[in-house]
Amino acid sequence: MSTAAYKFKIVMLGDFAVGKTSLVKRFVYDAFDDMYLTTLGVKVTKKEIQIEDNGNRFEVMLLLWDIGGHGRFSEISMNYLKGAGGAIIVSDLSNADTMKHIQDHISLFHEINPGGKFFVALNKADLVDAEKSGSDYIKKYLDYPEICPDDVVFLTSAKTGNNVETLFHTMAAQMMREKQ
Amino acid sequence: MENEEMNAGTGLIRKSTLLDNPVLRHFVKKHRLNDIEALVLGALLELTDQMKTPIKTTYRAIADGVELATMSVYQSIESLHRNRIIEYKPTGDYVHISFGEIDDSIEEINLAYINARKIKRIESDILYMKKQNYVPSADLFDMIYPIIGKLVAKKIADALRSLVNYIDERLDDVLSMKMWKYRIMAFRTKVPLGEIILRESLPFYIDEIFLLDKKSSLLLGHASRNGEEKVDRDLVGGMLAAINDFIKTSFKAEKSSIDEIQFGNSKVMVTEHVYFFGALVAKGSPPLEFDNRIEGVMNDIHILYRRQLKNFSGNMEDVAGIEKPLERLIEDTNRVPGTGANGGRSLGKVKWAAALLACILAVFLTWGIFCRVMNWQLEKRIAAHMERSLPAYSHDLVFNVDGKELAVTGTVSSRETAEALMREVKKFPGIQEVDNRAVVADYRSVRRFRTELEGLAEQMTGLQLALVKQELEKIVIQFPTGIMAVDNAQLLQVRRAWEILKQHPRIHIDIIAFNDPAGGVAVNRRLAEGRMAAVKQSFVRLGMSGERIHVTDFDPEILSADPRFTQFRENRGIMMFAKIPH
Repeated sequence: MSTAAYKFKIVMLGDFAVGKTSLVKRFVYDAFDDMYLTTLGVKVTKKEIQIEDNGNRFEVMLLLWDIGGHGRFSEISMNYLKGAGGAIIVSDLSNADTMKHIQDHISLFHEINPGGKFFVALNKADLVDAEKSGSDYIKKYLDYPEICPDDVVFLTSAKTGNNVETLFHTMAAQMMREKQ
Repeated sequence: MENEEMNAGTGLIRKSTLLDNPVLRHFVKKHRLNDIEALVLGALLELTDQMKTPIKTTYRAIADGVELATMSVYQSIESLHRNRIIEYKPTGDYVHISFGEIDDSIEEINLAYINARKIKRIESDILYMKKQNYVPSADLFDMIYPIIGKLVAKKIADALRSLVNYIDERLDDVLSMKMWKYRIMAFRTKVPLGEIILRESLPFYIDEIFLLDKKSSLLLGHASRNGEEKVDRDLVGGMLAAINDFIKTSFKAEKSSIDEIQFGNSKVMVTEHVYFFGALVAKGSPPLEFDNRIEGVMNDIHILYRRQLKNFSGNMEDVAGIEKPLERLIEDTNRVPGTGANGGRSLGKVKWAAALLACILAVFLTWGIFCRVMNWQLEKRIAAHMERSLPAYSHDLVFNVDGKELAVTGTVSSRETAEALMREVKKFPGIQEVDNRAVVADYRSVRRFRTELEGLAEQMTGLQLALVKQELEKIVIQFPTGIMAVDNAQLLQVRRAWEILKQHPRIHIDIIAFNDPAGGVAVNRRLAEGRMAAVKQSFVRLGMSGERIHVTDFDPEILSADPRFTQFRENRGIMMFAKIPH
């Protein structure tokens, strides 16, 4: 039995092939076969981390629900979102179509979990040039009142590992802070 | 590009079909592989020498072999891996590929393939018969028997053997006490007898229990049979929640108190509550009352933790100790017979019965002691009261109280005292029945009776003395002239006398000696005293107390008046006279 003082359920959302699974693989050791993801449409992994907040150190367990992103969300997938304390919306920076769907994923997550914390991971940052990773380009897709890019948007690369740890730690820390 | 690839692929698929590989056909049918996957699999079967040898190659090499794009090969290999047909591990530019073990043996697959080919020959006939609603005749069975008959016969034989064994086992039980117990249970619970037998026959135990937050599916608590943690419980819990959601949503399963997911010999029993759900991983058939027991435990958890669970936000401190009821449920359910699944319950019942019996015995024992003390105190009070109430020295009584009954034993001096006794006893309200066994005894009558008895005894003694005297007078111990020692003739007489005397120990004897006048007084005195001493010594030797034998002084005239002496006047000897000393 884990000794973690806090447990959080985090769902990974995003279009097909944006790199959700790769991000999770990068962050934690993969304990389950991909077959589960294919069969059930979800794969659960976990990572225990330490969070420091106001001088206090907390053991936090993140249960990461990697939900399959084939087309529209099914009723099953909607069930998987229930009770999630946070969501990471993943999109492929090199694929403009996936960027357009970020807001849809955020709305879906909030529909099931009103007030739930979310972060946006613009993945495959290693594949794009400076222009496409610039703030002007990003704002073109994320210019919504709900999103404040500076706070919740991370340029990540599952391939190089860039910003992956930071993304999850920042999320866990913010969720902890809200529980205090 | 895609069309080109497909065209090329299709050509090769035909080629692969021509391979006529039973194993390939088996995998294609079993896993519903598409043409490209089948093509890649066929190539891999060839490269691995029909699954025997693992290979190290590149996607491009395989792609070149089957004339497909590298990406298609990559996706096909991923798919074959997901279907658990192959294992693969990329290393740099290379990929290691091997086949895992499969359930069906290659021989079985080959046999199935050969049979399938035979069936193929009559496929058109079967289709024709199906179209004509043809009712199969015995001819058809004769025709297809050589093809599938052996397989069918083997399966039927196996099934029959299994059925016979099952019936045998059941018949063994049919007249047993256990069977009657099951019948009563079936009657009482309205559950079919067969189901009860099955439930009771198979051992049931819980491997693990997961308690999951209904909202987030986070693991709230967990308990396992052996405490081992081989897999991550949080992950398993999450996946169980996902599977439960998947099944419920996919199959729109009807709501019931406990849902079950079967896998192999185990099953997951899922029970939902307002804020959480429990998932029990168990083996065997649960006993009839098990659903109620789970519900009971879950209700207890709900009552204890409902406030924390309602607003559960991931803080595990809120649900500290929630696994305790789960551990108890596992412990109670898995208890082995004799140490405490079935037997545990039996032993528990025996323990309860023993404890109950001990309590009952303790109560009875305490009550018995209490009653005895109360009776003893009442006896003491009655005795004290009688001492005061009855005339002094008029009674000698013992009182025994047994509940409301009093038994009186002993003596009272008069009928009046006996009546007074009964009057006084009735003053004790606790005494409802009196068993008066006291004997009325008048002291004056007793004294007179005793005196009469003593006189009678004295008369009897006198009578005895007279009889002994009479007998002893018949015995005269004579001695030869000048002899003092006791010889055989004298000893015979002594023995005769002793036979009489030993019957009357209270009687003593006087020994008196007599002599003829010759020899002078002095000589005769010496001889007389010597003979009396010798006779006394002979009596003592025979066992007579010397105190009973009184030797008299020699007096030549002492016997002159005795009429018996006249006939012994010229002889010498000893005479004996019986007496009772005062």
